[in-house]
Amino acid sequence: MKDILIKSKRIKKELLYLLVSLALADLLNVISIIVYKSSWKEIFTQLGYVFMIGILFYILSIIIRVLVRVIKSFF
Amino acid sequence: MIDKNQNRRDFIKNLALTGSVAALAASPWLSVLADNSITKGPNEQIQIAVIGTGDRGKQLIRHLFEIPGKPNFKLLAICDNFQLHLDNTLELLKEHNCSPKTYTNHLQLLENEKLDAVIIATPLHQHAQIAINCMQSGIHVFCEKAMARNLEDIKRMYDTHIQQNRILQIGHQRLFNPVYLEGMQRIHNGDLGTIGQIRAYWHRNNNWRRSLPNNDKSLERKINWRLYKEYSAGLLTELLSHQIQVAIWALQKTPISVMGTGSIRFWKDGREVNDNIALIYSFEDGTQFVYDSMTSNKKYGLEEQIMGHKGTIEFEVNRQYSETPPAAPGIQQLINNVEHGLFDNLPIGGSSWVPETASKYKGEPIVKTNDLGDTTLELEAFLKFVRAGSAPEKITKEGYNASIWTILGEQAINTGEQLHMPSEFIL
Repeated sequence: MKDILIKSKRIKKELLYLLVSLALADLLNVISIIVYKSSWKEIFTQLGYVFMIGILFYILSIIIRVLVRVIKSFF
Repeated sequence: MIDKNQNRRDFIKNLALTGSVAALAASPWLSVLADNSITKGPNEQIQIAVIGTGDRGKQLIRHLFEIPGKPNFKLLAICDNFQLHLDNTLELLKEHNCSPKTYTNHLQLLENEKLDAVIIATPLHQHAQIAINCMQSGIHVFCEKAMARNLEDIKRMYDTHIQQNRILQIGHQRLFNPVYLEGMQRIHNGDLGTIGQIRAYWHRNNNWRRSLPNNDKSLERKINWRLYKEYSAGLLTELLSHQIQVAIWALQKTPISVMGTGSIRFWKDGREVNDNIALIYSFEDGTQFVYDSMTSNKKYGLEEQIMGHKGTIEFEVNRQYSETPPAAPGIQQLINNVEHGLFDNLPIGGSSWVPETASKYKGEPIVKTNDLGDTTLELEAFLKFVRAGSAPEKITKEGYNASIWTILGEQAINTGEQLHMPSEFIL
């Protein structure tokens, strides 16, 4: 069986993507609070939603990167 | 562990202290219940008997022994004209090291025992005579709802209570339920705005029959008395009576008329009382109490919905709903809007009709605790009233008005007419 090697550089890169995704989700929460004039408490109370959206963004980033790689491989 | 009884007691005390004048006037028994100065005394043991020891009688005895703080009472005797009920109750009482005397006739009981109070849980048609005999013997009475089988007996019970100056408390346990007490305060403080309609229903899906001991058919009418018109008005006296009481309590007024219909639609098994009913009670200010009950579908269960222009209360599920519910958190609104933008159908050829389906807003709890214990509380209150020698008159009137309008509901169904309260029964 072939071992899969994940280099520390790759791990750092993925963590960075995850962090950016979570930051974007948090930013979205702040924008929502401003747009819908809701309570600033939601920065903390809606962390569950923020986390879920962050994970969604991260998964989207994976899909996009895989697609880009597949498309690049044709050229 | 925090004592749940203490929580309930604190809750009621708090309610009595913080309630507005209007709210306390609507539920004056609250302040009696919260008054700790009415306590037990070593030489003031309350002597009690229970008349009627069937299912409900036994339940009441259980609750009696669950009253916190061991109130100073002695269950001196139990009475039932069915030996099996007496035997079962004696068995139950062994758990409490209690061995009361037994009687099969309430007159013998009254003759032989010196009682302060009785609890009556016999079949409905026997309530009036037993309660009247007890009050005439100087005994305070707690009687299960509904008060009596007909209007005249209800009035006779009330008149005896006044003439003999004895307590007559009717077993409407919702009067002592923390959810109802808190909800009623909000209603009477005007939190729901103008109440336009009260809707209530009680739906079951069973034949409402009890099994006969040893399958002895001769006991049918004795055990299943709820199904026969001679003894009961069926769904009306057993279920509606609770819910019309809630409506009258909420509105602080009695109806002016009632109309209704009913039938034996499903359980064609020899019963005489209807297995489905629908009634509309009207009030002077135009409010309606819309009621239905059935025994062949239980999807909707039971509920009392108090509907005002500012909000709704549903007591049985312990919820209050504002007509202007708080907005969802911003991020959830954003997600909803994105979802609607992506997946909603676009109207073609002008604006489309949107069905006015029920609001999905889940409301807020009226009280946080789920520990109701209303039957224990109503019995605790009864013992306090007995010790104090009197009860707020309103508590008897609540039972009286609920019973009168229950029987008028039955008459409206039987005659197919819109009925008004006969003047001789107005208090």
